[in-house]
Amino acid sequence: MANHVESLRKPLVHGNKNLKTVTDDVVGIMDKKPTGLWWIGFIIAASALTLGIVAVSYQIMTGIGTWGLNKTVGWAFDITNFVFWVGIGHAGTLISAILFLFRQKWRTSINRSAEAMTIFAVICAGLFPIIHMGRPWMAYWMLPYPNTRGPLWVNFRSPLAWDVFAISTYLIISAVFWYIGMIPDLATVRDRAKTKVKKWIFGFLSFGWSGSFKTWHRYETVYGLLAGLAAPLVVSVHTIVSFDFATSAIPGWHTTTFPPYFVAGAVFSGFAMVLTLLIIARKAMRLEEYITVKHIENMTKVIIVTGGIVTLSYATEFFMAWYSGNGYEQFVFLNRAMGPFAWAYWIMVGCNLLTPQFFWFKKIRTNMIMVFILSIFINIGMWFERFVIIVTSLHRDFLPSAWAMYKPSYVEIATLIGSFGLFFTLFMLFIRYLPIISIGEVKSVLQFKGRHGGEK
Amino acid sequence: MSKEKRYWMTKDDVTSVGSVAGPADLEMTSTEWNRRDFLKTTGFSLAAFMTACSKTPVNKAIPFLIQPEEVIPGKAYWYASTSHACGTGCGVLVKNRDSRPIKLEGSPDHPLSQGGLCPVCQASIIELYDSKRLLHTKLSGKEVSWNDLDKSVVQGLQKAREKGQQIVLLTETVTSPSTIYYIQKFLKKYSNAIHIEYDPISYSAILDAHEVNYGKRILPQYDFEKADMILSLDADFLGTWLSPTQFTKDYRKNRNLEAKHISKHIQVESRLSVSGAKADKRIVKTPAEMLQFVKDIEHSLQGKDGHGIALEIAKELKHYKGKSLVVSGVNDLAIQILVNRLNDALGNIGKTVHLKNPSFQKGGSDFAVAQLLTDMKAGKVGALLIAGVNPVYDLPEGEQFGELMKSIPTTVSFSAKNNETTELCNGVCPSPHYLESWSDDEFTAGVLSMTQPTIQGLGDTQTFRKSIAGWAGFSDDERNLVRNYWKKIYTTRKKGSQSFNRWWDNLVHDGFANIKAKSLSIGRFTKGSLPKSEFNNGLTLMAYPSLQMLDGRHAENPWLQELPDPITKLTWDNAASLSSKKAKELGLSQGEVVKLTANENSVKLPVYIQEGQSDEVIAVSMGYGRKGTERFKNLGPEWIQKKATLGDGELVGERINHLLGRNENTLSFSGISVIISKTGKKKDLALTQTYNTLKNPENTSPPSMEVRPFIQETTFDAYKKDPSSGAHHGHQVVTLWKDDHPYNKHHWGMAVDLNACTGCSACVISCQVENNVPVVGKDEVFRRRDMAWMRIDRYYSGEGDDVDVAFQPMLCQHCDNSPCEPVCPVLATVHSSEGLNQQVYNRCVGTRFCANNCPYKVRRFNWFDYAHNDELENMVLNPDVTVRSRGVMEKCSMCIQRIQEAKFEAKQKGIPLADGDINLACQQSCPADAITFGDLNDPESDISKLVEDPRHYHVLEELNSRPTVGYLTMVRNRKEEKGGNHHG
Repeated sequence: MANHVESLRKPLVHGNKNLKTVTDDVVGIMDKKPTGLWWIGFIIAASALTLGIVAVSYQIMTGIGTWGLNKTVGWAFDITNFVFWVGIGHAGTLISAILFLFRQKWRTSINRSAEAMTIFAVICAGLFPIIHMGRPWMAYWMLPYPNTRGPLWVNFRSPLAWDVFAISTYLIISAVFWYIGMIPDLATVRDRAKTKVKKWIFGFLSFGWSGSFKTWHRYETVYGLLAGLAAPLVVSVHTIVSFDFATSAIPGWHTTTFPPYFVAGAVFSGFAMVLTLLIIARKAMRLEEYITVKHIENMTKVIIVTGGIVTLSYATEFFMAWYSGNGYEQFVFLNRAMGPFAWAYWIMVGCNLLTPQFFWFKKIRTNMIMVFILSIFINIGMWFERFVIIVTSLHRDFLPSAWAMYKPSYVEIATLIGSFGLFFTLFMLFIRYLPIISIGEVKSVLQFKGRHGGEK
Repeated sequence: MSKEKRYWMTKDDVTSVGSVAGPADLEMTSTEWNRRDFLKTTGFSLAAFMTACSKTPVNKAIPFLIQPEEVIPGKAYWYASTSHACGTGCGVLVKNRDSRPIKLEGSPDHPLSQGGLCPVCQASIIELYDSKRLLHTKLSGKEVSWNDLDKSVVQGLQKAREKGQQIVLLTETVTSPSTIYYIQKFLKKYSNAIHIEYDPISYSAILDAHEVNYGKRILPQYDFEKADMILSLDADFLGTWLSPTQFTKDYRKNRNLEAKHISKHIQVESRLSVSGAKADKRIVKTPAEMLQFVKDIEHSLQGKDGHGIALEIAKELKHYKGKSLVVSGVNDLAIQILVNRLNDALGNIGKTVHLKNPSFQKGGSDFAVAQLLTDMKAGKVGALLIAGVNPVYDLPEGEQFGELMKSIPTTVSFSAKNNETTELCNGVCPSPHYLESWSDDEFTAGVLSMTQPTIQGLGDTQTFRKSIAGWAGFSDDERNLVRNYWKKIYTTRKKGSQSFNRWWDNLVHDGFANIKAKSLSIGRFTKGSLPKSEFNNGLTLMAYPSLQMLDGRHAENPWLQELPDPITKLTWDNAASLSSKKAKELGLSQGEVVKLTANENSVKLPVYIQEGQSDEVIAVSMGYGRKGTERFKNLGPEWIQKKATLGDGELVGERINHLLGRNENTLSFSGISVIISKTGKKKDLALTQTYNTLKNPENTSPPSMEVRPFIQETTFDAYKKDPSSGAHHGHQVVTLWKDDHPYNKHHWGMAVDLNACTGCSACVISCQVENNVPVVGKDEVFRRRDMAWMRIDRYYSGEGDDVDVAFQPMLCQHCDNSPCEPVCPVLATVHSSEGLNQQVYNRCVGTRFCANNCPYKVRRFNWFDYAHNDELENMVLNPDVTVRSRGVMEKCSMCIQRIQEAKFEAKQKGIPLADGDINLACQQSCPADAITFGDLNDPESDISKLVEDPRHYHVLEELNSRPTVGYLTMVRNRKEEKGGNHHG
């Protein structure tokens, strides 16, 4: 019965892969010397990272004044980047945890890289709340621990304190989930390792994986449990991030629809980023047979849905502003659409509202170049969404005497570039040094014409 | 807070009260130490001793081995003195901590200050600690001793006498009777000497007009308290004109809403001034139109062919006969004669205009200066002694004056700082700051103000009085020169029957004494004939003293440079103000640099678009472009995108004095024909407020709220009918929560009376001095990062030149439901048990969430490390207030240090804290008494009563942040409901 149903479905992996070829394809990348293309990518990413390190060091040494902020606009690029990167992370968890729980088998060939992306994105995101502080060397004061200062605890009412918990939980769970999921593959690498050092390293990392039935059984139980733990994070993390704004008193921030709006936006942007990355990766690493057009298509469909929610949220905000009868609220939204930052607002609308509509067409969905371009647009749009929310709400709030404009400084721009540098550097290292595709899981979705192969 | 006033008996006492040494030898030679020096040096000494085992200045590290009797570390002493910064002569109380003055407050008993103090005087304290002050006498550029200088000058004077050349004493208005006495002695000794006085902001026409009308060149005293109807013709009496602090105090007394009537104030002016902003009716006229307008009023008053507004005003003036007051700030003889005629016709003389007890605040003559120029050109002048003025900068012919000075063999300048004139003088005599000197001044007839040193002189300085007395043959120390003069004449002037010693002690203690005014013979009023006035039609230039810079003598004061102009909100620059209509017509936008050419001179200035100004007037503030301001070139934090405050070779703003004209006898500051041309350049204007109305921008204005309801405004008529008129009836804020934070002891609150506030910004400077608020420089202000805890929001309503102005001092509202408190992740901003929102600097990590969430945007972030290393200048810091480091948030603390001090004092005395014991810095300094502070828990306190006032409201009440700072509705004495209640 099961076989019958399987055969009706389109195969998830193309190219008549058997167990051996899957291992060869994935681990083979790690055995070969890095290609020129990889080097180019890595150098670009590392340069961007270096630029970011210089910018951040300069800023920490000199002061937050090296950013374009002022007494009216106290957050801009910093928190925009933070929310943007947290959002990026969400697709990974959604793919690896929620799709796993829903037994979406197509996720198997993309979940490892999506999950890696999550972790790298959360690392990028986590940096911003620290470096945006006036005194980042005091950042540990944000952690609740018994101390000699009273003890003086954190303010449990502050959404920024909640952020600390949300982000750290998210990072820990994601990292553990990713790592646990990787153990069988690490063992595969260990088994194929030719040098002693490599064997030792991967032997250590794979925790003495034996591949026995018992090990697999335990593994799958833990994996399932972790998936269950990670699944709520997809919703909770960005909900809490949205509280930074939703619990405030500033019109444009003080919005109860923010949690679902932010979560949808996060998944939306996350999938766009996964697309951006995987379209390049599958091409560069010759993994088209694993990450198939079907995967891409599936992801674009998720984008259509979440894009729709995001669009609805934009509309709801305007409706609520009108419906509330609150002049300040109404002003903020009129100001977004027609004020000095209207250009940012219309970039956001253009990218987030119009772009996903192209994905209704199969021709576009299956055209990798088009999908790639559109995914970039969504990335841009979602960055601007956060920028619009933060900056346009602040720059003209209640008292007109305090109204001001905001212009980023070079240091801020360099920091943004640096965060991309960090993200891509980590990702480049990941695709070189770890199995980019979950070998074990992909093998489980292979279709076999004849007898089982000899491996495993 | 009770102030312990102390006085010194002898100069020796002064030196024994501990001292601060001059800047050059600050570190090593001072024999007395304060706590910080002590800690610094012991720490350093110990370290040096341990490591190097070499000689260390350890013997110096013993603080107060012999404790000066009067100094208790950490305790402030207050000395009464007189401020000489703005020329008004307000009595001040000088707060001394560890033997150094750190704050000036208006003396409550002094008739001129009445407790208030203008921003210029308050800021002048930092000039005492200016490391660029002149500290040594110089002769032809070389440092010499006073003896050598005296010798050289006396030689020069004798030479001039031999040659039969004139010796000219060129000074500002001299108000000190003892100085006048020694000048007279000097003039007697050198029969060829003359004394010429002039005021850079000239009042010459008023004085001359009184000579025409009353036969005596006097400047009357004006009584704004008794004036029920005030007609001001371009006299910014609440801002800069003559005696603004006194006038504001008096004006305020007759604007008391509990009274049956309040004064009516009509302002006729060409530009928008602070007084115009407060006026009940504002009429915009060019200077030429104004002259005609006054003539019309006179005609109407005489019952001749009156018409229009002039007739209306004449009728009203007539109605208030004997209780009206006409003043004019236009330096034009014709207008001033007309003003005198009006005041005479209205019977105001002796009632609101006092001729018998005149003011001596200004007495300069423009004519005499013109005469001097002629004499100089003719080579008649052999010696020129300049004191207190800077003619090379001040005079329209300054450059020529400078050239002519070079050919005078003996030129001596008395100045506290290098200026355009001292640079060209052979002899430079460093003058002491008034906080280091003795002086006696009769600014107004019958009031003798005393100035006593509150710190040992920081340099080798000497007053003009001492030098001139010495040259006239009287040598004595500074104190005795004053004291002996009064000892000699006190029987003729004293009131009462005290012995001289007693009288003197009281005088020094109180800072002033009432004396018998010298009797003046005032002639009967004669109408006089009107001279021809030369106000040009068409586009004309108007030069006005800005409230911060006045005539420019304080241009090197960073606090004043960074103080936003109350009207333009501009810092670090002067600009050519044009009406929006004119700017549109000329195709000019804000910040565009234009070239103004008048009287064959030109100046390049950025355009500032000013509402409420005559279309045919370009208004430019004076006092900018002073040499010496190049010191501010690199002021402000260093970072890669920093724009220097000044370009290479630039000064702060532009001098425009050379564009001024000279009528027959007077300098003309307005009505000067001007040609404007584009230069194609742009300049950044560092404004602290860029959006000027409460009306939303047209394209983003929601129909439900066109105007933001932050200013409540009503008319006096409406107020009499309904005291709550003008109130925005918002929703009643209800809460489900029980009040779980009761304030059991005190609950501090503040109310700001918008009706009283004139926008003068005294509170802003007072706060800056009290709370160690840093100066950040032009670029930072331009980036909207100014640090002032107290700002004055200025909103326009109305269109074209018919605008109303509302000032709203905005500071931390100390909300009981503070939006800033819950968002701080580290509990760095918390609520006190007395209802204050407190910022804990050393807990703050700088997330800025609090500032973002503040609906009033009153929080200030330390973007950089602003504390700087000018050791001398740091002496001005208030030791009771932390100097904030980089990366932390700060804001108004409600002067917590003052609250604590008053509480401790009450506790020590074992008596409960009484209402009025605590005076906040802003509140204390306010010349308009607009700020009330007190305990909301005390039902009898002034603040509790004000909270119950129907005029009382909170800004953004609907947010339920429950601010404890409230505002009181502005009431204009108007009949019509112009524009309804809304201010927009």
